Amino acid sequence: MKEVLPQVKLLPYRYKRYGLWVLIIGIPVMALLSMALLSVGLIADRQNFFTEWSYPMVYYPIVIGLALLNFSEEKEEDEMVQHLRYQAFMTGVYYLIVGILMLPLFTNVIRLLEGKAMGMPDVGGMLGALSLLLFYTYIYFRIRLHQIRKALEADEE
Amino acid sequence: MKNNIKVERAKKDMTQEQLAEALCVSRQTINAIEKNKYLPSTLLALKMSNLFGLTVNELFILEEGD
Repeated sequence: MKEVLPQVKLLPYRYKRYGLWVLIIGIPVMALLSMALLSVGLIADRQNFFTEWSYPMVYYPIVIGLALLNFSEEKEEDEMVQHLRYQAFMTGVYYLIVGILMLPLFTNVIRLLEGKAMGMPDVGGMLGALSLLLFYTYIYFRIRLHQIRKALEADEE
Repeated sequence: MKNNIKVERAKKDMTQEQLAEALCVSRQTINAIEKNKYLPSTLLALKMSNLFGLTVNELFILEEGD
C-alpha cells in the first residue's frame, strides 16, 4: 500500500556507529584543528576566535553526532520503532520548549539568591538549542525502546 | 482496547517469532501489541486479522472509555 504522507528517509544502521565516533572524537579533533589554524596564523584575532568560534567548535560535532544517531535506522526497524521515533521527537520538542522557557526563571532565582543582578542566560544559541533537542529526543527514544525490550525479556523468563 | 492475539496465536500453534516473521515486524512489536503497550497501524491490524482468518473487530475489541 502506498503511503499518502511522505516519509523521512533514514540512514542505514551503520551510521549509528559513525554518529558515536563523531561524538567521541569530534570535539578533540575540532580543538586540534582550531589550534593548528591559530598556530599557522590563518586566524589573526585570537581573542575573537575563542569568543565567536568556540560554540561551533564544540557544538558541531555534538549536533552532527546526535543527528546521525537520531536519523539512522535500528537493527530491527518496523512500524513500532517508527512510532516511538515520532513520539520521541514530539517529547524532545516539548522538553526543549519547557527547558528554554524555564531556564531564565531558574537562573534568575539563583542569581537573586546570590545577590546578583538579573540577566538572560545563554544556552549556546541556535546550536545549543539544537543539541538539546537532539539529546532529549535520542534519550527518550532509547529509554522507550529499552522498556519495550525489557518487557520482552521479562516475558521470556 | 484489548486483543485476542495471544489466544489466536495459541490456536494456530504459532510462536511470537513466527507471527512476527509472517507479518514482517519484530518480535518486540508482537509482544508489545499483545501486552497492549502498542496499538498497531490499520495495515498491520488487517494483515494480522487476515492471517488468523478473522475480522479486525474479532481480533481487537474496544473497551468502555476507548
